[in-house]
Amino acid sequence: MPLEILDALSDFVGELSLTNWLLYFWPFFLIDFLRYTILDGTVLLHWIRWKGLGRGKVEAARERMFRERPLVSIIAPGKNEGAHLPALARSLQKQTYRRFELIVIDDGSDDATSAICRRLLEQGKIDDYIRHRVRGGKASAANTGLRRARGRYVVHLDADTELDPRALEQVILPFYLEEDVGAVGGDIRVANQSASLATRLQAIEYLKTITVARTVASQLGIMRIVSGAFGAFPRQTLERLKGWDVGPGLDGDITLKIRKLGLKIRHAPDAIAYTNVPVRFKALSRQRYRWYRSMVRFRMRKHRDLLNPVANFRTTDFISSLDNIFFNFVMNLKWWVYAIQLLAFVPRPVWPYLLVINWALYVGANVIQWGLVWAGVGTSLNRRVAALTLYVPIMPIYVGVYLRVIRSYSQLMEIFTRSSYRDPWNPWRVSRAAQRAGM
Amino acid sequence: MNPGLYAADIVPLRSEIDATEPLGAIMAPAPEGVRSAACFVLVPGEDPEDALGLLGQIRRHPDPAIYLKPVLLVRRGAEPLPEALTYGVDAIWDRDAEPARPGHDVEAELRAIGQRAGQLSPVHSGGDLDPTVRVLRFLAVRGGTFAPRQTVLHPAGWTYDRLEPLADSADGDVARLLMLLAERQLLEGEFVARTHSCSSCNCAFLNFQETCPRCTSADLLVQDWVHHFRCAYTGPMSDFEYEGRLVCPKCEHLLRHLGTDYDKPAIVYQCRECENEFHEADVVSACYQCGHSAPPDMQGERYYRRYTVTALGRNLAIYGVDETVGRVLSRSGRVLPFDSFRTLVAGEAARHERYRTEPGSALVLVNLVGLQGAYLELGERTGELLEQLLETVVSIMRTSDYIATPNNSLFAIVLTETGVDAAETAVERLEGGIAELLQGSLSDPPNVTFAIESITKDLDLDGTLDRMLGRHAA
Ligand SMILES: [Zn+2]
Ligand SMILES: [Zn+2]
Ligand SMILES: [Zn+2]
Repeated sequence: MPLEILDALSDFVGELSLTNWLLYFWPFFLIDFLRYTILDGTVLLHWIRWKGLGRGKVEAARERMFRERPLVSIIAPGKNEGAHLPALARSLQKQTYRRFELIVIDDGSDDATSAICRRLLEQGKIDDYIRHRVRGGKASAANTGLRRARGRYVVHLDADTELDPRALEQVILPFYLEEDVGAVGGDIRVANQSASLATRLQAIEYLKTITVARTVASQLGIMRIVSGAFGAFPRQTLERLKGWDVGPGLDGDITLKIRKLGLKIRHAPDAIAYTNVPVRFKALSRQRYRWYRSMVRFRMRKHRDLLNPVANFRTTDFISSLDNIFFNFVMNLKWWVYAIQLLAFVPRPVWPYLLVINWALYVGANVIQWGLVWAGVGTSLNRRVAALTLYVPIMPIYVGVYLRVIRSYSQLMEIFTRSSYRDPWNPWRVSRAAQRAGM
Repeated sequence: MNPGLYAADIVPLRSEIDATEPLGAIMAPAPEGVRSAACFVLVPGEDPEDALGLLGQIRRHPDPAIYLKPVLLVRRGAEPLPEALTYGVDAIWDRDAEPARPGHDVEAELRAIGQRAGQLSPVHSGGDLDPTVRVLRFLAVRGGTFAPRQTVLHPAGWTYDRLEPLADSADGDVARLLMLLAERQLLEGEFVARTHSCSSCNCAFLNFQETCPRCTSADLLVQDWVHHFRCAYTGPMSDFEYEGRLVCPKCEHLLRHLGTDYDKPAIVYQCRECENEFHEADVVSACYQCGHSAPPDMQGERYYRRYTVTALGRNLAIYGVDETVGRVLSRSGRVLPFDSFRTLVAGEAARHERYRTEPGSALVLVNLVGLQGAYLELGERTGELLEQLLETVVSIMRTSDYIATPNNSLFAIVLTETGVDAAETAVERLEGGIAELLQGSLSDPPNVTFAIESITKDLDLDGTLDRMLGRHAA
């Protein structure tokens, strides 16, 4: 019986003409494969070659940085994050770059955080501790931290991340490699990858969409987000912008504002921060729901002018926004068109074949992308990451079905209800003020 | 009436003191006439501080016949006298209000104090030199409750008025002596107040000031830290102040309503000396009296309680001699030295005999029979088991109960103001607690026997102990 199905499948494939391949699988060949495998692959391979050739330049920049020894202000805002702080402080003490100050902003914690912070302050593991008596949201806490910062560079860090020993050095280095860099994103990887299926899939996803995709975007000059979990900025740039705006999506927002200043955004794949990701699919769904809504809000509403050719035009900005809209809307639209195509023109018995072949194609693309991850940053990956290879065939379902559903749902909710203003991300008073301001 | 100090008999106390000469000062040893008088009468002269000095001499005299004696202050109407004097004596006779003689209650009180002082066991040659002992005896003789009084005229902020003259500056403050006595179960205290006081001079008048952590200057500008909701800008209030209104320096919007437009999540300090801006100021407390300055948690701490003398305290004060009290003071933990325990039992018996108060006190003996088995099983760790056993017993006892261990296998307990019936209930609880511990620790636990005796004049403590031990040894 299974063999008969296999025969039928091979017959079906055998009879497909080139036109049929395109007709049946255009979303894969014309869009996904082209954009995320061919384009990314080409750019990444180019980057790997460039990295090899530019080694001397990197070494010179690193030397200059260690000679100048700029003070780096690390700001860690958050509510009830006290329990994570001792580990963060420990990971900071192991840094190869040692001239930094750690500023913790307690955003109205109601647990033992303030006691923990005062102890760490006494032990000299925290340099500054400011407490907001009432929660004001992440942006206001980060702004208070920025106000306290004295360093030439400011690193924004989530308190629950742990840094690789070279992370601080690597996240500052791009400022010495190029002129006019306005922000550098660190590489976020999954700390608890072995906890569940969900964390394993996220570990692969982070390596693909952050490590590889952002390196590529950085190379193309179209980086559009510096993760709040780990990002570095010249303090002057942040002060020019008067800090962060109200979230959610404050990370993407500040990045776009920096782009608008005409500064470059860079990704540093060797500046690694490990973070704990949701272990259960339920928690993961809630997290993504929040993330995806904020994306729409900030790309489409607040920074609409990046698409407008008159005001402030810069080709890379335009492409960056286009790429984002492509990613968020064309990718969604594509499936609706494809579904209608199937329903209207393709006989029902053919559907299972298309499903299986599509899955196989996407698995193939994922395998290539997984290969790119190893080609790009393989030296920083261990055997545990290698074991994730077994889960790569599930990725098409995780990304193509699970995440796609959440993404579509959150975009609809954002567009029709503007419900993110009632998100628990911000205190209600802050959300209401932002809503009245029409932001 | 001439100013000065008189040794007088209370009855009859006429309007003119019938002592011929006022006493200039009291020498040690005191003359027999002074020792046998019922009370002292203190008449302030031109300088009331002289009278205060005389009061101190009385109270710090080592002879119990002097320092325990009641003191009557004679004053005239609204004559201004130092607080330490008016509160420091046992009674006051205002001759303008009652020219003939002090009121009956005053006389009665003075007489009662004199009488109780007379019951003290004879004192050894040196007298009571230890201020702690003096305080205990003074309290026991006066009876009742001693409460502290809040006052700005005493550097500690609180005083135990009549006790203050008993100790001089070299003896340390009275509040600390009382805390020590309470720790040893000689007094029982009820919380009144807790104070911070200078760690070097015990003065409670401290100035708390915030200082700059960088340059220690106290010249600070304190401002609210403002968070503007719509743009997430945060900064000191002065960032927003513009022509009498609050305008956001980031988004240029007007801040109208606290709570809807903005809030103040913190405060910020700016040092006028070094221009440092900080959110957490150092706090320093400086003593008004001696100038010593330190962080608040490095300063002293005093508890002020309303004290009453316990049965143990009363018995040791009245029947004990100086050394017995001293030994109780120097021990740690709940177990009494056996001679103090004996004094306590004798005192309780005498009290019962005199007042026939019901209920009296009960003696409970707990004997572990066959403790050798425990030694065989546990070896040297038997000591730990016995300590645990003692802890168990103590945890079941009230704070007003007392325990001594005449030997390893025998616990003797005094349950104060407990009849034999109530003692039986207590024994049941002891039995349960001890059995649980022994059965959990030993495969062959010793037998535990109990005896309850009412503490009366006829109780022969040593005989009872011997019988208890002998009976089970047989
Ligand atoms: Zn504002
Ligand atoms: Zn200063
Ligand atoms: Zn002092």
